[in-house]
Amino acid sequence: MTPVLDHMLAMGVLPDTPRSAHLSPVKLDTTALPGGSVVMLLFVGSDDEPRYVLRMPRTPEHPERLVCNFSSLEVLSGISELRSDVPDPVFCGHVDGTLASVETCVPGLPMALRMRIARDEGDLQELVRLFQLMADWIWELHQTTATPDAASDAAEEVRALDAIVQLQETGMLSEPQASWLTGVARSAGCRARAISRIHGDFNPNNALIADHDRIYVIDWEFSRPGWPLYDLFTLARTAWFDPPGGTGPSATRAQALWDPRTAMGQAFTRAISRYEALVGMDRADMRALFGVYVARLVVEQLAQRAAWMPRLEEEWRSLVAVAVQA
Amino acid sequence: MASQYACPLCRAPLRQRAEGYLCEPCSRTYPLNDGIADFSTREHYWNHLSPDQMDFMLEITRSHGYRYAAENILGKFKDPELVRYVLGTNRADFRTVVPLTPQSSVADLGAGWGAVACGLAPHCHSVMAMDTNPYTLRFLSMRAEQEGFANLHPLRIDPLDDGRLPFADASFDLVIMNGVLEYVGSATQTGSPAEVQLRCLAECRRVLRPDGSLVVGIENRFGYLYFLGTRDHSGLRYTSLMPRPMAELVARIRKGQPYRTYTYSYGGYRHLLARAGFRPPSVFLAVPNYRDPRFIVPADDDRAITYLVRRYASYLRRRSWRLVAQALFGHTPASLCGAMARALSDSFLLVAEPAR
Repeated sequence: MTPVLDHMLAMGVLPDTPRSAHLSPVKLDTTALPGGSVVMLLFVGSDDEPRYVLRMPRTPEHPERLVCNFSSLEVLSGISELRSDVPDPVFCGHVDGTLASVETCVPGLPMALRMRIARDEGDLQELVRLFQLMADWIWELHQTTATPDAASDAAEEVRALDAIVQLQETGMLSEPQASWLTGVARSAGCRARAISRIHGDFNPNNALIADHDRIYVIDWEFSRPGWPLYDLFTLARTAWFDPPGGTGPSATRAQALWDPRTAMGQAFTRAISRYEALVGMDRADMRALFGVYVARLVVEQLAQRAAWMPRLEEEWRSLVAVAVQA
Repeated sequence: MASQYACPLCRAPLRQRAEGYLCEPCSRTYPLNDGIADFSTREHYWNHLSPDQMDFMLEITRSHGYRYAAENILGKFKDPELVRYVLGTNRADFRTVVPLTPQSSVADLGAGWGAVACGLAPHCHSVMAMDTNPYTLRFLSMRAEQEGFANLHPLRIDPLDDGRLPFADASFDLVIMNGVLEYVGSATQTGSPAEVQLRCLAECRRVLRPDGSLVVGIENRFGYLYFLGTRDHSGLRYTSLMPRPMAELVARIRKGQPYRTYTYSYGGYRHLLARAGFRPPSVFLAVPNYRDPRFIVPADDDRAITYLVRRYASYLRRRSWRLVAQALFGHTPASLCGAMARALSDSFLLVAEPAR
């Protein structure tokens, strides 16, 4: 075993795990971007299923995400409606000089795996059903953690406005587009009642599906107080499934998402209609707010030099085109 | 650092001088070139790029940074996949399953472009990144400087075939050979490659502390891709699967060269390491391979292998692969799943301690 695991056993930080137990670590596939974590499943003794998930930061000087994940789990495990849907936080601290956190391993498989092999109309219907389940879960998260907080609301607005300015400077946004998006970002702000804890990276890799309709949400590394719509937008953008024959009647994915004639468009529309009343915005403004969200995403990815930036850039241009058209 | 350097020829401690390191018994000075200690005693060049291309690459690395140079120069000269190979930080993810602590002193043998050395540097006390190629060492030196790794020290050595590391006995907690052992034997033309590899492993054992560990990332001789026609290190198909004399014959006929890039099976590596004076190793399966280890699974843990295989086999993108995987692993007993994975895995990570 590794020094970290040896010390964890010696410190007795793993509940129901004797100090003499054998721990078997399995390193999982996770993003290799700086600031992320290396994630391992821990099998204990002769268990057939992993019992714990161990995380260690990729770079010791950036432990923020790992700590954020753990502290978010601590908060969520104190909310009775959500505690069974997220891993239990077990331990976070330095072990033999190395920062590590441990949480319980939840069952299920990422929705992303189902998307990966989806091929036909039946698969699409199943993905739409799962999308709705996940959108409902985001609503539940919002309902149980909503805290009117003007400071967090203002912080979200500042981030959005910064992103717009930065994109304008890089030439990815024209002057009229920028001023229009700025207006939307400002009107979306000042609605502190729509602030709640958000996941921050609610994509199909982080939603595990078990027993057909049971959802477990993992990887709370980007969690913070924010506009819950951002989780929904992330889900919509990443859980997209091209129906057989492409994007159906719409030319692009971005258009199809807002097109009620597509199955995903219907599911998405149903999900955002709950928030329209909450933040007092109409559909056109919501669409523009989606543009603001993508602007922020583009700026974040530009900073990280993500390999999939070109794809996102293409998506961004398509989205702006759709928003302007509206 | 000078205190632990030893003459690669006579192993006497070296004295630091302004111009390099002096071995008094041999009256030989090992120079410092661009701040990189050069302990090589013979010329040897192996790299993806030619010296001219490397000169250009280094110029861009100096002016625009190593990442820019890798993305924009390396990708143009060579396969863009090489960029990922050079910059990928997850290549050093094996650190999570080996005995590495913030106090560890590490030797990275065959450091190449520095993906492993730079991946380990933030997590240990020091990394000695050794290679034969002065150009990649300069790239690595600039990369370390640009990343701010003051604990990463590149140095030039002779090919590992010679078994001459410029360090005193018991200098390191961890010796890494990631994608290197298979090439040991190809820089010399005398002696069986297996014997040359044994000599190299014995040298690794010498510089390891008694409680240290050797970490080897390497292909499985019988990896499933070889059965599907992937070329092995000789550049030929199926030679890895053949008996050595037959591989030798085929290599001489097809390439006019001897077959000197030996890899082994799961059992073969255990045997090789035992012969070199190591205790039975902990073996991990690196999936899809040790160069990009997205998953690292203990090779002797049948239930962990079965758990992962069953979990992901149903979600392989290609339907035909999915059906084959489900048929093979769906209802197979865990022990058989484990045995198949060990036999056919693309590559292994071996962690071995010196025998007492």
